[in-house]
Amino acid sequence: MSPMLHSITHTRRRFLGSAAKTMLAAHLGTTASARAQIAKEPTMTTATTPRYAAQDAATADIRSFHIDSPQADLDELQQRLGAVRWPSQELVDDRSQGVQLATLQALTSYWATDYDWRTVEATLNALPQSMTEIDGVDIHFIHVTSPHENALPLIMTHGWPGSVVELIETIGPLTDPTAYGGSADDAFHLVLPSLPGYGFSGAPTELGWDSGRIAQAWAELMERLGYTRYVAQGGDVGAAVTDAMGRQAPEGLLGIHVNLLAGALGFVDTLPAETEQEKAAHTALATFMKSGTGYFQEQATRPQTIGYSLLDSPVGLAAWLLDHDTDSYYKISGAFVDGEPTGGLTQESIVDNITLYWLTGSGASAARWYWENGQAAARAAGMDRPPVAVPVGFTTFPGEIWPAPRSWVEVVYPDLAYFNEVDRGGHFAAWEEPQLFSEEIRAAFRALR
Amino acid sequence: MSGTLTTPEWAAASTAIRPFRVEVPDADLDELRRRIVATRWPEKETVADPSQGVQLATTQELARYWATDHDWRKVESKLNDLPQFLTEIDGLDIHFIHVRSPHDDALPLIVTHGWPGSVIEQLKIVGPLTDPTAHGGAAADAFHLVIPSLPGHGFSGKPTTTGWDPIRIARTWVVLMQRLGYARYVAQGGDWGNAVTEQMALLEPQGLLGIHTNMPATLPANIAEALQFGKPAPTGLSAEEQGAWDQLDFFYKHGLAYAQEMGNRPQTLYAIADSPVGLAAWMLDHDARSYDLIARVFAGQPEGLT
Repeated sequence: MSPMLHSITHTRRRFLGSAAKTMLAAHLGTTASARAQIAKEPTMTTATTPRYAAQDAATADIRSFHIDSPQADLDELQQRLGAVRWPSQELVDDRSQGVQLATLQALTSYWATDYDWRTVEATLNALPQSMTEIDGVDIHFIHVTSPHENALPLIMTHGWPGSVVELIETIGPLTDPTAYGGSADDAFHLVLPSLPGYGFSGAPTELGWDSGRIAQAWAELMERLGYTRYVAQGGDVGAAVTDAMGRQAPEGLLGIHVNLLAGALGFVDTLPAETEQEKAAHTALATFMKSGTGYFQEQATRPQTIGYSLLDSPVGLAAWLLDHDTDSYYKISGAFVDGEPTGGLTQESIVDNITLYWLTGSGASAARWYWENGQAAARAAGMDRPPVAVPVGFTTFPGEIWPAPRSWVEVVYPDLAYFNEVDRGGHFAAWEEPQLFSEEIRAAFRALR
Repeated sequence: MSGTLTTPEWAAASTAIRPFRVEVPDADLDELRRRIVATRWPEKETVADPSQGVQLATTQELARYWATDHDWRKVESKLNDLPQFLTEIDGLDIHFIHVRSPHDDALPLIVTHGWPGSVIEQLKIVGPLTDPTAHGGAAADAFHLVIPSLPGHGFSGKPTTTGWDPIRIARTWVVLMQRLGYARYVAQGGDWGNAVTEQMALLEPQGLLGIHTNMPATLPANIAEALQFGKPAPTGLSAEEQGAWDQLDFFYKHGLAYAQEMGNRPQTLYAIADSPVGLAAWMLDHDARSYDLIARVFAGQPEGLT
């Protein structure tokens, strides 16, 4: 490779936490910063397993983790945001051609002038964060134990295009319910991992990291944390992982709660279509299948191709992450264009999540989950999946891509133990309505304590 | 922040046919090289084949070549050596190359490129089609050649209203050929050029004698339905039909995402305006066979494509 291209190699190892730095120093006989070490690497190398993981072969150690983003990375991001080359404006006055120019320009203006990554970095660093290697991949997680000793351990998984940023506002209500209108009996010890390839977790370099393998890693994580009785929750990719945990039923898993009925896609022809609600859900699902799966198909079949765009253009990344579903798009667009955020979907929080993807270079590695998911589906074609062997709770949020009626949820989860429909919130329910979402989690798991 | 790309200066309203030359500012070329050199790369794909998309080694070699060896001025000269024009039709400036044959009785032909192509796809056929006697053909095979840039592509204007589907483009091509004084002509195209050319045939404009397509985009109804819903192949296919089915089935299962995204969310692809390497990868990822060929080119084996 030509040394002429002073390209920026992008890896998560820039975010070496204090423990990792110590480890590096021990190996290198120096206290030089990780950043300095990276600078010595040849240009145009590609990201591999994080250095600290490679050096810290197969260990069950849980190391404390601290985010320390290099200022040079933030400066470089600013430089890119100041030099954006824009396309012409869309020809429609809605989202039917994608993320609107006015929305993305407002977001970029905010990102370049008013936004401060150091704020969310401090928020995350104020939480107990750790790193542990499982099945060859470093898993980053937030672990907040409740002040209430009898709290129920809960592992909660974010989705795409999210990260642990989605879940930050649920930490208070779930771990410290008495401070958020709940009772001590509703307390959880909370574990919030970053999916492999996402955020501060390592990016798998080998194949096979589908939902089932992630589910196994989560069971291992909970065991490693010493939790012998626990529950699991997730939406989006997190729903797929949590569903897989329910089917694997590892020892100690008492029950699951999900807030996206991803399994509906496998039963489209048999889902009830009698009531107005069922018909509306079918319409929403059909709309998604017809016009909303471009990002899904691209990531499922060509994660590397879109990856170049997502690593090299911050506004390209922002647009790709905003273009998820109609309800959340208009809510997010409203936050930037009209200055009217919906619940927790604030300008700052939206850009926190995008910046997290940017700084950790997660565009391609996160998209790869969809590819792995597709491979897993192909492998499983024609085979019956094992049933979920633990009690299942489900909450339907009205703005979800297809708000699932109870009858649909019962098709996917015949032994439904808890179901509720609430009056607000959408696909990013925990992010948008953290208090309401937390109340649902409390209610869903109350009988399992 | 810079402003949006606006209608180019050459797009002044007129129904006249105006000569056109490509003259890209040095600053634009410097800016392009700066962006390529500053590329922020993803990690390598986790497979040893193109099944996750355009491979890192190919993209990095392309970027290296682009930043160090490629000279835009060469192709700019090639284009400027050909007679190029702009003319406004239906409110939009259309760029086209127009090469008349030395043979007076040549048959006028309008050839339309596709995506991810441009008039650059057609440059090598200008000689053989307009000057066949110099390329192993007979004077009786000569064409007067018209090679337009599709609306929104290359040096043609970008529509600012919706509705520029292949039918409207076909009507525009008919006007173009009329405006050039061609009372009898033929049309040819592949990819989107095929879609436009087919629509020209369906319009049956006076003067259009026939069409040629190298991408028949029509499938038997039972095949189309089976592909769309991921069903097995219909029984009783011949070996040749089975081969075509296998290719189509692969394309529907693994190769349609770019079309889904551009068909539903073209605006969301901001990155391909902002990142040259992102654009390159997006354009390389069209079909399995052309990708294999292009990947070989950047691995040091130029063939028809260089």
